Amino acid sequence: MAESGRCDLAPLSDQRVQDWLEAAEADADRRGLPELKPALRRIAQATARLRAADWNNLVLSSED
Amino acid sequence: MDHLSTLPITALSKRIRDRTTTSEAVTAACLERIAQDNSRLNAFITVFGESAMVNARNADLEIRAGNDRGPLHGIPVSLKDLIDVSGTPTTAASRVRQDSVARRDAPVVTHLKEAGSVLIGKCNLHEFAYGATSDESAFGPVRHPGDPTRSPGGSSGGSAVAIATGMCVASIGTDTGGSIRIPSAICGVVGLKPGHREVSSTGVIPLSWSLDHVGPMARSVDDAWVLFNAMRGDARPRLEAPPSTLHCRLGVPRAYFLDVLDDEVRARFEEAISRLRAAGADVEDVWIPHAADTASVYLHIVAPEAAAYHAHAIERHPEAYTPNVRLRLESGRYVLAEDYVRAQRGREVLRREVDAALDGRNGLLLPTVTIPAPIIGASELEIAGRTRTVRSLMLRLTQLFNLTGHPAISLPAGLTSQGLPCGIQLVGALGGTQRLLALARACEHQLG
Repeated sequence: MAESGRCDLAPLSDQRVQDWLEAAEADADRRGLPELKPALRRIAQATARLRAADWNNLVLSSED
Repeated sequence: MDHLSTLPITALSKRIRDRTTTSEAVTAACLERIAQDNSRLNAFITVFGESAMVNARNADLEIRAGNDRGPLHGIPVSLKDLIDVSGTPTTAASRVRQDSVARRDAPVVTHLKEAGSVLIGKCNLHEFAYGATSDESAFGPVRHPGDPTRSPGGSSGGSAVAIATGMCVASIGTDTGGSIRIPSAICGVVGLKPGHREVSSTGVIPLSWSLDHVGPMARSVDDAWVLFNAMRGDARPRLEAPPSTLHCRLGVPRAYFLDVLDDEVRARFEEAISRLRAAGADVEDVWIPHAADTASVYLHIVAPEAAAYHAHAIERHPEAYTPNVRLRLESGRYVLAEDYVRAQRGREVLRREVDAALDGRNGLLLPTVTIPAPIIGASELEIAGRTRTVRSLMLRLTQLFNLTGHPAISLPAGLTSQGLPCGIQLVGALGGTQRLLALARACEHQLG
């Protein structure tokens, strides 16, 4: 299995991402897809990083 | 390596024209190799044996009659089985596509046919191109030609194996996060990801519509050049002799890109730098400030785009996907729209940073893949003191340039002590694919 979830994953510091992950994992259970959870945890890690990126505070324009 | 089917396009084209061989003989040699090796390596899903021989004989007749269409005329070329060829199945290496027969040629196929190439078959791949190891396929795993217990990389793994073993002379692949460059590096061939949208992706099953690129895989940069131009409708590109010295400025983005590397891959890369410097290249370090954000940006684009394409099929036939590809697709359905938008903003930041790193330079230089061919089925490896997924190690050095759209090419750069190929990657400016090919040709000449 490619996404076993055994790799080092830091704890999530973003509460909104933690809430998203809990909801997504509950949905995976409801759909009978518990094997989806490692992939969802990996997305959560990436989402926390994405949301913490400094470009979210920048205004991009074609002139920048 | 004197078997006809292992020669490059440029050499075969000359031999066909001076009548020391024929397209029929070259095509027969490729089919012989397929008959000999395909059951072991699993590179092809469909072989156009009979029609390829008919087309090869016709090419010989046309060339003898003076109707020479250019260097691809009479050359056996394969296609990744994501690309439509009229009247034949496009399987995407998936049971989901069972009985799907293409109604028309993809434009890239039309151009190859107009250039006179002999289509020899459709190559195996990672299912729907959603993986970098080519071991998750409804047709079984593609195997590395140097060690069949290892992966040839992917997703265009069958194409790379077919070229490396003489089952075809060149191939057409697709690259969404490195799927041309990764197997090219791991199998010791040349692979070009052109600039975004430079080659039509119409008639090619998408993985991620905004990241997908279609490009050539071949035995030399000259061959990739011939194919790239033919794929865009120019069957007769003008080739010039490579320069004897290398007067260029290359930037090496060390931070992030060289942080996680297999020791032997690092050694081959540093040797390549030394050789290029000795040939006259000015090689200096450059910095891409947000490079470490590449994987998170990439994931939030590729996953929902792939999920959107597969939404209908995965509802109806979830069991028809291989288990891991199904999970990747399912996970993409959970990505929020706001994060997709954040990723698109990050993508623009990264594009500008790559542009800045290229400013005043002819190209960027980095390894293509962090590791040599992994064992088939391995999901994780320990490298640089941490356990990492094979998937992340495979994609780490290539996916940035799918996000930014810059053209990038992988060249062979020596072997590990176990005889496994390593690759180096050159990245060019947006709109500069022809210049990148010229640079790659000069570097290839120096690297031998």
